[in-house]
Amino acid sequence: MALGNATPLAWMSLIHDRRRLLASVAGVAFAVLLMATELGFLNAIYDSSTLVIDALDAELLMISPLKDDFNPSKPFPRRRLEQARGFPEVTAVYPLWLSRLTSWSTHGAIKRDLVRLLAFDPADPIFKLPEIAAKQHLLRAPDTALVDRRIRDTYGGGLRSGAVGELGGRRVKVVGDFELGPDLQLNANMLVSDLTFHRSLAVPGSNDQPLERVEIGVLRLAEGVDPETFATRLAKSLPDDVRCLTPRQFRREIHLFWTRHQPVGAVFGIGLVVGFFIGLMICYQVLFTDIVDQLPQFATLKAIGYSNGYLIQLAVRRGLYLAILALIVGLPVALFTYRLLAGLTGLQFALTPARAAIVATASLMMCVAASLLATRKAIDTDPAEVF
Amino acid sequence: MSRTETNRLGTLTLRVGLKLPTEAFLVPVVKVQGVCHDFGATRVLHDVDLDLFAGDIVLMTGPSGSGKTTLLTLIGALRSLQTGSIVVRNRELRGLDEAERVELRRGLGFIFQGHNLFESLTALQNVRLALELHSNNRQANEQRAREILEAVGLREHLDKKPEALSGGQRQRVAVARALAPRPPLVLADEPTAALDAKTGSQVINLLKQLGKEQGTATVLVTHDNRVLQAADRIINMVDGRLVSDVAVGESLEICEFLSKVPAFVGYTPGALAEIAEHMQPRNLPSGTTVFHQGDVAQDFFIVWQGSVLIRNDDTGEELARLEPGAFFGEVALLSGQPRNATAVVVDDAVLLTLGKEDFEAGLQREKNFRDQLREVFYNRQ
Repeated sequence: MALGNATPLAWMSLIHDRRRLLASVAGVAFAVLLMATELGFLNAIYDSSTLVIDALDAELLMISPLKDDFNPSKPFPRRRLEQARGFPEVTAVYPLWLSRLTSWSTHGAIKRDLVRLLAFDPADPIFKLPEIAAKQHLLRAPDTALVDRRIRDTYGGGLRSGAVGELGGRRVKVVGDFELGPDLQLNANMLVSDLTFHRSLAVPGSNDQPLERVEIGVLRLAEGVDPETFATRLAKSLPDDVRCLTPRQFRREIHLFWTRHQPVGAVFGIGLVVGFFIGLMICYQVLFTDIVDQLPQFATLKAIGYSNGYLIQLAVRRGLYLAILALIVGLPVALFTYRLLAGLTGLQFALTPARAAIVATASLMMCVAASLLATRKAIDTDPAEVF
Repeated sequence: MSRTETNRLGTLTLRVGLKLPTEAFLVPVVKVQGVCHDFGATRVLHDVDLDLFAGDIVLMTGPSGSGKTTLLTLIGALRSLQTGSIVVRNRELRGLDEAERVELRRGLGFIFQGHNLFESLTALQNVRLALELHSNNRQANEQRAREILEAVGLREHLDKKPEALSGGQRQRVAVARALAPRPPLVLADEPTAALDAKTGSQVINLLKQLGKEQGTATVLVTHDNRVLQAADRIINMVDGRLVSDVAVGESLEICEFLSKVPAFVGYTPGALAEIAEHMQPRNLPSGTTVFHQGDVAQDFFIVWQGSVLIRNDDTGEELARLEPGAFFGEVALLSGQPRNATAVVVDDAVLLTLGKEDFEAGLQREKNFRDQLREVFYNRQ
């Protein structure tokens, strides 16, 4: 039997009852939206938590072995960077300091929201974002800052270009902005020079030297050096209070951190699975009802000589058609929802082709599985019963 | 000689006019032997034997629960055979696995009481679906589907979906679906129940046409008396047993012949049919002496085919030359005298014979019948 010439029974059955088709597509499209949204949240956590890493122009990163995410809390001694500079494979090292800005006072009001403070030498070409590279010279002036335009809007407009606030008791002026974005924990990023950082955070009268403890070391390597191989060698040569890894490796570790060690990652991961099963149930219910309504017809097909294989093939086709129709509806709605959520949360919601493909594959699997499950009823039908 | 074989011989005689190889009609399309079937602890078929031949239209009758449908589903390979043997188109069904039964079913035509058409497909597509089991030639399938739908009077409704068709039209689509692949065997459950007289007869004519042109055998389970006209055989089942298997055409003709026998004049059709059922065919080549003058009378004869010469041995005079439809031998049976002439076959002949006991039983039956009538009249007083 050549399928190309065969009567398109699966398609005709699906579109026969327009009202039922509409309800079926709406139900499955809802499941598509649910999965896409859960996947969007999951990826928003990943993407947002690695925004800074993606913005760094680094071939290797040096971090504390205790560091498992991008929160500013696990620094290492700055001299390790100097030691790394001694290797011929290393062409440049740049320190990056991180801290949390827990208060930003403007016009007497104190905001307790969280801002990630990133400090670096304005002379260092540490970021690959052209916008930052173009503006970082502005930070050479003391007590200045660049702020993230995509700040989660809890500052009532008090943290924007031109604003003046108090940072660690010092008046700091926002001299420009850039676009990076918040993550799940922090509402924005603020760039300052190492000098401003030191002045703001050093406790007067104490021996604490904030600049001596670095959060991230950005390393550039000579041409032809394999970063992963060199990272292993470098780590072995240095004391165990640091470790070296490529940005890709660090990104993967952060993903793992959110997936395995943070409930929020698991919540959205489970949400994705739940979305799949909800879709499976919706799809199953729709197709099962349809099959039960046509049970005598399926029994007749079996009676006249169609095999169970044909019924399975019908089910697969039907599931695929339903999934495709639901995707045509569901994906644009998901895209719109992503934009809405990105606007509301400030997080990165990107429906990349790869992610759309994941949702599409999950939807196709969901519909085909549901269709196969529903078809068991037709397969179990005794063709003798039609007499 | 079994009853089925008896019928077959008669059927063969009647079909001389058809332009089909005789051998094709001699091999049964379906041969059922010793079939029993149980549903749990209940036996629904008891030792059923049956042969179905190419071109036959066989009516299966019987009360509800008599096992007709079960037998139909077993012949149609829709159920596994438990006991006995069913050979369909030279294929033994016993021991076939599911895939083999599916394969076999592709060669059969099924007509169900419920039309079971796909509501999403047009009449043409529903019929095409059956054809696609056999060929992927879309053009040929389309053409055949149109042809058969036109043959059942649906030319104007090819592209309509079942919801736009009447009950009768739907049933005709289902009939077309079954007949489109030109199956050698059609199994039908009340195929004309939803049809009016005109369309019912269209469907039956189509089945007859297929029987004539292609040798398609049809088994109909029906309570529709209109179909009786078309039946070649009527099988009656009661309580899972095949209690009667009558070749209708032959029986009708035999009854007509019997009705002209003076001894049976005035008999009811039922009484004549019962006598006819006991008649056995005998094939006799030319020159065979059927009986000699002076023999003790044992049989009554009807010439079914060929011719027989009746001769007085004493005078050598030819008393009569008997052609098909003529009868002889009843006088000696009635009088108890020896044969008063000799009967010799002159052209290869088929004679239908009724033994002395059956002949007398026939007479007795009529007597009972008359007695019964008298009682009816008496009771009216």
